[in-house]
Amino acid sequence: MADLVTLNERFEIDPGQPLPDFDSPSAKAYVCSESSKSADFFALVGDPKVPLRVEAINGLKGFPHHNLMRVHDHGVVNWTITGRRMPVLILDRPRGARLFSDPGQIIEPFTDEQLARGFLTPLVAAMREMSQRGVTHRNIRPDNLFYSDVSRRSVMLGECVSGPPGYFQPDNCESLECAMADRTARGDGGVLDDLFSVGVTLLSLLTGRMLPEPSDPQRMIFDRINFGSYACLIGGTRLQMNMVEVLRGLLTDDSRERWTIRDLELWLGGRRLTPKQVKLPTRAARPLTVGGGTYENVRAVAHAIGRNWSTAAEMIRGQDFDNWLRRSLGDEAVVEAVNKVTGGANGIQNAPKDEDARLVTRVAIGLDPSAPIRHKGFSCHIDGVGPTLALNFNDDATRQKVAAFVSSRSVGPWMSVQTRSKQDLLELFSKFDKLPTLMNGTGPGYGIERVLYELNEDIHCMSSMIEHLYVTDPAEVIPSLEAVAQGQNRPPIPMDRHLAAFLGARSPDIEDRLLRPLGNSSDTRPAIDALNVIRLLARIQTLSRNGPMPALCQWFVELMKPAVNGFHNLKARAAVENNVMKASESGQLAEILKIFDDQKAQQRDQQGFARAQQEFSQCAVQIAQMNLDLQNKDSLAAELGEQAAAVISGVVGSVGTTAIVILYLI
Amino acid sequence: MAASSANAASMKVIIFAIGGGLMLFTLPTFLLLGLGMLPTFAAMMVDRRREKYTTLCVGCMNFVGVLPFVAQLWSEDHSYAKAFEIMADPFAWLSMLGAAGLGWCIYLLAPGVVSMGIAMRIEQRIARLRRRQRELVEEWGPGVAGALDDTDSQKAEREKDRDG
Repeated sequence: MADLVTLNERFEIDPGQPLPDFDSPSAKAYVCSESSKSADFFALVGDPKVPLRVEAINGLKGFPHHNLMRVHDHGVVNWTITGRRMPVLILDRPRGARLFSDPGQIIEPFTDEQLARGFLTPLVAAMREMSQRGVTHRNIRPDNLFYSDVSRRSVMLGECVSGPPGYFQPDNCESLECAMADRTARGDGGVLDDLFSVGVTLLSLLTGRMLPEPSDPQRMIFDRINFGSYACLIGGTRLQMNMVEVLRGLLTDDSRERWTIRDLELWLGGRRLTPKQVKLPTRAARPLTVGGGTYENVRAVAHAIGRNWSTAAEMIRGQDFDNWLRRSLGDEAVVEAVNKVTGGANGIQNAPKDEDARLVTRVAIGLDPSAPIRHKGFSCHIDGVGPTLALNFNDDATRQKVAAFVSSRSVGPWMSVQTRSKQDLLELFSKFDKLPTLMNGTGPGYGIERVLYELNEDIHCMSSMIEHLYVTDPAEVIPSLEAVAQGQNRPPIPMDRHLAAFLGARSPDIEDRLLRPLGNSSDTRPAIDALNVIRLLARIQTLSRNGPMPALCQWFVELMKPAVNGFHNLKARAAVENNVMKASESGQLAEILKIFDDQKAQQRDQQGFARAQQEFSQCAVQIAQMNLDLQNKDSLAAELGEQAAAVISGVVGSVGTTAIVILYLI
Repeated sequence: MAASSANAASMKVIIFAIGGGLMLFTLPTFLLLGLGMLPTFAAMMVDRRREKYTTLCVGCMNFVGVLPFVAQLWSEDHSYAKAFEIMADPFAWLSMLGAAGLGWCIYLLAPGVVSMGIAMRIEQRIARLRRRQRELVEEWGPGVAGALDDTDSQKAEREKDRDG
């Protein structure tokens, strides 16, 4: 038995006992127990590359129903199997097994009674609670259902927090608006998107098999647009009349027509209505050709434009598109929306050629405001941009796509044509509004890394130094760097673009004045890079009250040696060395910073050194002059010597003459 | 112009007349001085310098050597006989020529002595400057020598080592 791993001193996870039946697509399940209780739990050890839905975890805290696999705790543990720190979720362990253990499995079709009492009733209760908490599940699919009891009478929803919303959903289980987006960028969606997934899951339970994945997903999208998702998903399946009503209600593509939780509750309560015909999109008087294909309705045209963005601009500028939009389509709301985001026909014609991609994006937004934003082949809901970047940050193409999307400033036009106005959308809009400025910064703390952390408030720092330590809070950065400092493979400096961006995005106390100098190459003072880094980390250490970090301080002592040697005055240098050693022993970066941040002392040293240099050179000049005089002393002495001899003779002569005169006079 | 040159000429005549008159009355003295001061005249002949330092040196000392005998001539008997008597005395010649020789000695030795003095003074000042440079290096490190040829600072270091 492997050593137990403890989470938050409460749950014990046994890495030696995996539970493959409860695995999630990106997380492995293990046996878990709580020391004080006998309740059934299991642990999901997540893939660090896949961001958790921490906001949803917090939103679902204290969830009262057993119809949803609840998260009882989560955190980060030292996972011995991988030798790194891993995110862990502690979840309710279902009494029964998974309904569909693999996509090809066929189960006994559910009866009406089983569906109503065993599936829909608990599900509706859970969804009602989630709706009230403002959390969407976005992971409702047949293979994420479990029997909640051994007798297989009731079904519970699987977890919904181990990956980005909709990331693990097959296209078929997603509403059309979400399915049109890239898998990673489906966003949180809404309760109506969950209800669509409920409809698809209901269909699978009725038939006893999961819907097969379409061989051509894009063909399937266009089919769903043109013929409706209901028709495409039901296909030739024979359904009982009472089920037709609920499935038509849930699988309709028009979100205004789609059944709500209330409708589902009424249906479960016995209300029966004549099934409504699924409303198909309005067809234009004539089709429009986009990228070689012909499309008859506005949503299909918008989707085709998004997919053929590189050639669509020319078509959009043409008279044919304008005629189609204003005459053939016959939908004033669409014309108004397109005018709003593009500035009308003049706006389209006057758009610069190098902004074709942006023009295409805006036209697609105007044509289909509820669809994902499509820019240069990247199709996303705005709350899905962050997870996309987080999941594929190391992929150049993804980084470029996201960077282009952020630079396009498409969120503003998209917001302007949205009928719903949610507070979180406004927050996202303000965030996207400032992203281009942050992204265009070239130094550490800015760039696409900053975008990553701004858009993903809960992901861990992906700095190669501390990625394995799964740091999610700025307060954990300093202890993590202390661990790195104690290790053998220290990088050149305890800072990189990821770490700077992480601190800049997560810590409100890290201002630009601390980040900007990190990329300032014009300052040539010795060890200036280390000084700028220590300034930033000292602030974090002070704010986080991390306590002494001797190894990190020692690391900085070594990095700051050029700055110590930068003191010219040897006595001052010795004093600084002494002070640095003392500060290092204290383990406080701020103490080291205090020594090197004294610019007046450095200025005094510089000025003194300049004066000393000047004096030294003056001495040297004088010495050289005197050596020259020494060489020429004989010629000098000849002149002076003759003068001196004359003076001596004169004096002696005068004295002698005076003496002789006096002698003869007396 | 003509008046000033006439004045100068008449002034010369007056001086020569007075000098000639004096010479007439003091011929023994001039005889003694003329012969006793011969080294000075010789020095004057070889002294090519405008300042006439050699002449001054030899002349002053020579005069001191001649003066006692002039005084003797004046005090005892200012006559040709006395002048010739003095001239015949070898001690008198020893005194007069010895004094002139002493003047020559002073003239020849003084530059060497002065040279030594100058050298001593310069070396003292150089030592003081090097000591200051050494102090600067001790306080600021070898970098204080800056772009200068390192030899100065190295020399300062070497001297420091030598001084212990």
